[in-house]
Amino acid sequence: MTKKVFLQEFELLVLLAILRLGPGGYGAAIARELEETAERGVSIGALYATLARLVDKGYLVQHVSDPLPVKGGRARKHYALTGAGEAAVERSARTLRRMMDGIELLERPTGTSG
Amino acid sequence: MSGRPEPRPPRGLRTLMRLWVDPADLDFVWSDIEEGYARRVRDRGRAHAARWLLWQVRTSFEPWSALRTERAEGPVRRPADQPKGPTPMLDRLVRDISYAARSLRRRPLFVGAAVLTLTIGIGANTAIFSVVNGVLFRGVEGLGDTDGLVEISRDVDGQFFDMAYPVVDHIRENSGELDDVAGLITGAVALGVEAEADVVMSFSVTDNYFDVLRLQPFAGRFFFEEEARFPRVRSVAVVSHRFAARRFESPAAAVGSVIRVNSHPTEIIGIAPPGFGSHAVGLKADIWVPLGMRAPGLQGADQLAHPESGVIEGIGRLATGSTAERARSEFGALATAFLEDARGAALERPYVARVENWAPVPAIIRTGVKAFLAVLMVLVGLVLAMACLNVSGMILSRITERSPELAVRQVLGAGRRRLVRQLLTESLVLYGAGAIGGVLLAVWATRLLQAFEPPVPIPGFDIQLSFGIDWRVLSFALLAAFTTGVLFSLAPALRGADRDPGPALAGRGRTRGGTRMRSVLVSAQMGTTVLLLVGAGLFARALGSLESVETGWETESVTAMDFDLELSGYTSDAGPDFYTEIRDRVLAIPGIEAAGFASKLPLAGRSSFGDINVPGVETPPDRYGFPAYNNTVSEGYFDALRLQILEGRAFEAADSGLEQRIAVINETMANRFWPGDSPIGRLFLIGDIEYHVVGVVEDAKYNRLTEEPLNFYYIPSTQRYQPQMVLYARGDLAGAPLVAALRGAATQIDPDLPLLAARDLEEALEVFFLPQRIAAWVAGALGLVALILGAVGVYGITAFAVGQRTREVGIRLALGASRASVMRRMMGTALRAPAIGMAVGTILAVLVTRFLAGFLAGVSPLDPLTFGLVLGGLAAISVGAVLLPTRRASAVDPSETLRAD
Repeated sequence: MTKKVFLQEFELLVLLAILRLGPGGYGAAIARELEETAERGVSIGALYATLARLVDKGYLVQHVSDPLPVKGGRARKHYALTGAGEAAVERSARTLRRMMDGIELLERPTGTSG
Repeated sequence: MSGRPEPRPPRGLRTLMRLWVDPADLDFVWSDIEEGYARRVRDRGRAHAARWLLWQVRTSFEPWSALRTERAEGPVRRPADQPKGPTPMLDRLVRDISYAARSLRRRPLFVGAAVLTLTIGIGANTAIFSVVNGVLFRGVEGLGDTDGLVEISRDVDGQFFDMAYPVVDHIRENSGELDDVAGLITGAVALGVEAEADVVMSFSVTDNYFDVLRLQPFAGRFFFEEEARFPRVRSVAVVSHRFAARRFESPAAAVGSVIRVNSHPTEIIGIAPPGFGSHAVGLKADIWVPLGMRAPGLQGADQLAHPESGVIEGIGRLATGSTAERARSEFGALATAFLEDARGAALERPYVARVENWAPVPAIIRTGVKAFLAVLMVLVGLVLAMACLNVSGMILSRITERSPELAVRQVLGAGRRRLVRQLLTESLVLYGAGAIGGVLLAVWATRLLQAFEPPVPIPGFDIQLSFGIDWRVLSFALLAAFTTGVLFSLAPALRGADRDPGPALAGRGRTRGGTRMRSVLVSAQMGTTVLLLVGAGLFARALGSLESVETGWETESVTAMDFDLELSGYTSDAGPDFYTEIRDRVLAIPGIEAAGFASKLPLAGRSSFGDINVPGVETPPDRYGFPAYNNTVSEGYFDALRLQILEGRAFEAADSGLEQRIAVINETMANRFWPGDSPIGRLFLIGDIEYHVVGVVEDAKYNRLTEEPLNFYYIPSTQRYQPQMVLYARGDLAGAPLVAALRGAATQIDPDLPLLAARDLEEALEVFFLPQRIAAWVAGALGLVALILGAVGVYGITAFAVGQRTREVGIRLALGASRASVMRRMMGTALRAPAIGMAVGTILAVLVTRFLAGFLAGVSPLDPLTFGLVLGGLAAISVGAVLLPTRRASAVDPSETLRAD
């Protein structure tokens, strides 16, 4: 039985942020990306719990980098999407687009419509 | 990049987050939080960053616990529109506490008794700990850099001795291991500003004292070498900030003023930094003068210049990379060489120095102070243990009473863990309230302590040494409450949760259960009470016996008056005649029975010490001689202090004409070297000099009230001139008229003679009783608390246990047993636990009290009276606790009791 798993909104945002950052996305950078682009406060604890959950689900892979070459530099955990992850983002985006279709309430300054 | 370090969030939060964040991720989470925090401090300021940080910690909890649940049980679906409720864990805690509060509110009496008991226990501990904290941990006010600071003294057979000034000066010049060494003498002077004079603590110090301590003056300056290095000394002084603030318009305004040090005009050149009183905790000097400054009552130049005197203490600063041990051996070698050079002959024994790393409590009393505080902590810890045992007893009784309720909850599906947690939470709520009460009690008690005025004025005595409550004291109180709370409540809680609910539901819950634990509690309580009461009782007895301790001398109606002939320019030729004349005139005053001079005040703790050898008595191979103390006294001294001459004679005026040197020895010394034989006419040696024994005088206490009998000998002042002596005059005349008469007699001979302090000897010696008196007072207070707690506890638990058996008594009576036989039976079983406790407590007390011997002047650690009273009293309480409820139970009509079920 294939489980039909839906991404929660925050999970989707996290995956999108990692895609936007490209290779090298790690905790603080993801948090910052979310804060600046999605304009929402990010709980770092919540972010890591979500990242861990996404790894559990097989949407993300992580690898731990060597410590930064500065005094007191720490190792970082970098994340990248798996194929399943990309598919899940795709699916969610599609769902979102379908659901938005025909809704005229929202004004979009960019002029694109779904 | 250098410059300021990155702002970092407190590490404590990381520890907190470890509680819920997956350990594998914690480092990453924390490092991101650090990064975000630093950025926010930079961009938005500290306040914003701190708020962000707290938000981060708070919001990190829920997602992790959700993730954990998911990992354990699969994904949890929460309807999206439903608000997130409190987390399971927090929820449980809140529920437990509110349930506990509700359940406790129904029993105000029980709560009141338990919280009060715990308040006393935790409060007493917190108060004593705040004293320990103030003395040992807080450090010395006004003292900055203590790195490498060492205390220096002379070591003679492991005892502390003061040093000679020339030795310390020589070390100061020649040491490689010590950067600098300062010498000092502590004392008390009358400090006069205009018409008024205060008696304050004074330090006579070498010019470099403040440099060694690396202090900067608040105003003015410290001493210059040219004006303050003995023997070139001017009359200048540094005064404390508090003295300057008290007696002058402003502290800085005091600089340049002339004050009187024991009536000797002295110029203030500087003000010590605020708060600074000395390098030792609790010791607050108000004036520092150059060592060797010749004001009345200060150390004379003759003694100071003498290379073999013992008058000053040392404080030094180690050279970089050196250690106290290296400084010690260097000091010893340098001093030995210096003294052999000065003497032109070898020393009998090499000079041994004592160099110890500085600590707030001076080295000479450090061991004693620590031991005393340790004893106090143990006593007060026992009080807490008793309080906790009491509360455990109450809780156990309450659990027994609540067994129907607990049974219902159990049947309704509350698990064992749930019940234990519930009961434990209830106890901890009580302990938490006790901790709050305890801290308040401690605040009050330490305020009381700080307001304590010693019965006799002690210059420099300053108990304002911040016995206040600080973070150490608070953590101590919380830790004590929490640990004891868990420790003492776990057993009753487990017990309460472990029942078979059946009988309780059937209404028979009160017949059994908790009996064994109650017995253990009673025994433990009894044992602790015995231990504590015996300890406190011994202290109290020691105080009692201290009032009558055989010091040997009778100090009543004796007045002591200081003389300093050097100050008036008397030489060793004119001095002795002067003493004789003074004495004759004093004896001529009506009402004076006896008068004599001595160079040392009894019990002042600074007897002269030296090795003696006795022909025919072999010196132990590892020693240089037999240790003995001495004093220089005149004709009439033994009479003035009523020391009995047991054999031979006392000193006489004619002794000055004798060819040979003579001595009067004490009983201990006579029995030691000439047992069963008369020592009169025998001789002993100090170095090469022979002393002929002319008399034996009874023993006395010379240095401390608690000392073992010491070898002691007296040298006649006619044969050893001392420019500074104390006159002792015994007579009915007392107080001011006597002092006036004595002064009159002195000024008749020499109108220019500076008049020094005169005091009632009994009052002057009062101060030496103070430590024991304080100890006994504290022990007495603790004993009283222990007695109350012990009596209440033993009575409470025993009475409750007997009360639980009312039904059994009813059955027995109904079956035809006589009241007497029922009583006997009840007494037999109920008294077993207290009896066991008393036996164990007594054994422990016997084993432990020997460690108190040092504090117990004149009382055996196994004092039968103390043991008897304690055991007798506790036995009576136990019997009463069994008797009264048993009688009440057996007085009830059996049919009543039986029908009640």
